[in-house]
Amino acid sequence: MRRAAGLSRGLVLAVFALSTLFPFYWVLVSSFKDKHQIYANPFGLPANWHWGNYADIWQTAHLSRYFWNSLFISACAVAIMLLIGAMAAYVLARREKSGWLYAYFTLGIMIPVHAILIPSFVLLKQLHLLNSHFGLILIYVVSNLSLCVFILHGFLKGIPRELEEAAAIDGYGRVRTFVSIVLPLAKPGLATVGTLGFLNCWNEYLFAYVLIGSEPSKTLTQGVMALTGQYSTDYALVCAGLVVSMLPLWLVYMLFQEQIVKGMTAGAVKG
Amino acid sequence: MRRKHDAVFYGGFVLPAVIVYTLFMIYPVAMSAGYSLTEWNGVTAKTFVGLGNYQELIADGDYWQVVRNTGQLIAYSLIFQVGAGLAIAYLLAKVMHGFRFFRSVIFIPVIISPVAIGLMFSLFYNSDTGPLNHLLDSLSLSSWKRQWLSDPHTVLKAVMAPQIWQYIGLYVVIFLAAIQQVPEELVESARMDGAGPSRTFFNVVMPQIWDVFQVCVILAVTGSLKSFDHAWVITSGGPGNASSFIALQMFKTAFISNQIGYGSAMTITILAYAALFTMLFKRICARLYN
Repeated sequence: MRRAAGLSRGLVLAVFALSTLFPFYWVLVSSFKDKHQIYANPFGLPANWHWGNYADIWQTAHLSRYFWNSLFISACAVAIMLLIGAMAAYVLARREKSGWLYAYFTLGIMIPVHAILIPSFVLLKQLHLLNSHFGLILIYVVSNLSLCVFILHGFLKGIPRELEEAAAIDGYGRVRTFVSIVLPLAKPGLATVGTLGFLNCWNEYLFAYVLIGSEPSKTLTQGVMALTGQYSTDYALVCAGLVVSMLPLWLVYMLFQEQIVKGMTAGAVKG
Repeated sequence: MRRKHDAVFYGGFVLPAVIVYTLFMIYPVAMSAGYSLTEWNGVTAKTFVGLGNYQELIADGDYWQVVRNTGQLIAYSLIFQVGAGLAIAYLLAKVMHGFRFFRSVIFIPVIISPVAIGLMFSLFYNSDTGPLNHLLDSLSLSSWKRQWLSDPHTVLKAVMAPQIWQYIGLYVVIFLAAIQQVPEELVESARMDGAGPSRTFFNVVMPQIWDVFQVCVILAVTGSLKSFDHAWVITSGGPGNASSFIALQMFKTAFISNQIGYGSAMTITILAYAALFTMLFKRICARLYN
């Protein structure tokens, strides 16, 4: 009885896991075929492996340019977010009577980011920051700042004050204490928030689309979206493009799975 | 002396975040509210119209169509993301072997960009060359074939499917973490008292993960209210508004029709729905618990 339950449970889970993997399998396999093979033999392995699809999509569809843009923007946004977020979280964690400030920052978690779409456009236009990576970076920093402060606040609170007091006795200034003692101890928190922030920036589409219009500055998500236009009939190229956009994420996921899961479930589950 | 140093330090340290956050998050939200009270094309002068945009929204058939679509998305999210996520997490919690593998696999779609997921599914749905209709043929289910993306009867569900599918894993992982925190002794003593699996679930496990359940419901609802990317990449909301959602409609209104004021009013309604739902839901839950 137990056995049967275990088996059927395993079966349900296996079916579910397969249904999760299958679309990715199809895209991966199709990226190596030509478009006729994709139609004739959709689910099997390619007869000939067309690596050329990847060369095409990287060069002709300018995915390389979009790729580096996304990388630059995401990395900068995460760096800035972590820095000012950690600084703010530190103040909130150490200073008594910071209830109001804490509430102010975490309010942002509840605000749907679309609420600032139109004003961001108007504001950046006034600041002449449209079509610039810096403008988009600022918006990304702000979009993730609330969650960043919220999560880092939890981490920093857990760092014992004795260490900082000992540093003060040794003559360390507050800033030096923060940089050399507190930040290294907060690495797990920084890694969690950083990875999550990176994912959010890398995968973001709408703000990039609205705030960046000039070709050379576009992000990878815009590049993927563009695959629906010009190359939409050549499934093999589109699949290659999809794989290119997903590959970094799979890699990051393999390396930082724990941090990603922790980051995404933070706030939902305590502990 | 130390006090004063502290104040300067604290003030200086928190200032960059406060400045950036206020300037680019709080102020824009206020701007949105302000725009919603005007008629503006983004270029020429604004005209103050008070609540005129909102009155127009109430009479706007397109708006209510996208609200209904969003409502459907919310319903399906609650059933197939929160509900199914919980069920699968419950199954997974009891599994011994391959647990980590399942968990890793189920979470993969969550980290991919919605645009990529949407594009992937739009390839599946192609009525002539896509694998979905091909699969139906090979399973002798040809009568089930449709023009998934051009048929107004199927397009909404077709566009909702990838979104639902993508994030089930998130809820599975969240519920899994919560279920694993339920003390073993509680479950054991319930079993020893003769409780069957569903009694154990509803009377022992659910109360323990109730807080997490609430958070997940709110997450699903607010997430659905924000839905844009998938619909945009698959159909741009078409045909007509058959597969459009509020955020999409807002985007089209503000950035394609250049009606900034009217679009902002839609944005405010999204905010209002999210805030209202959260407050009401929390109140209902607090009452249910007593």
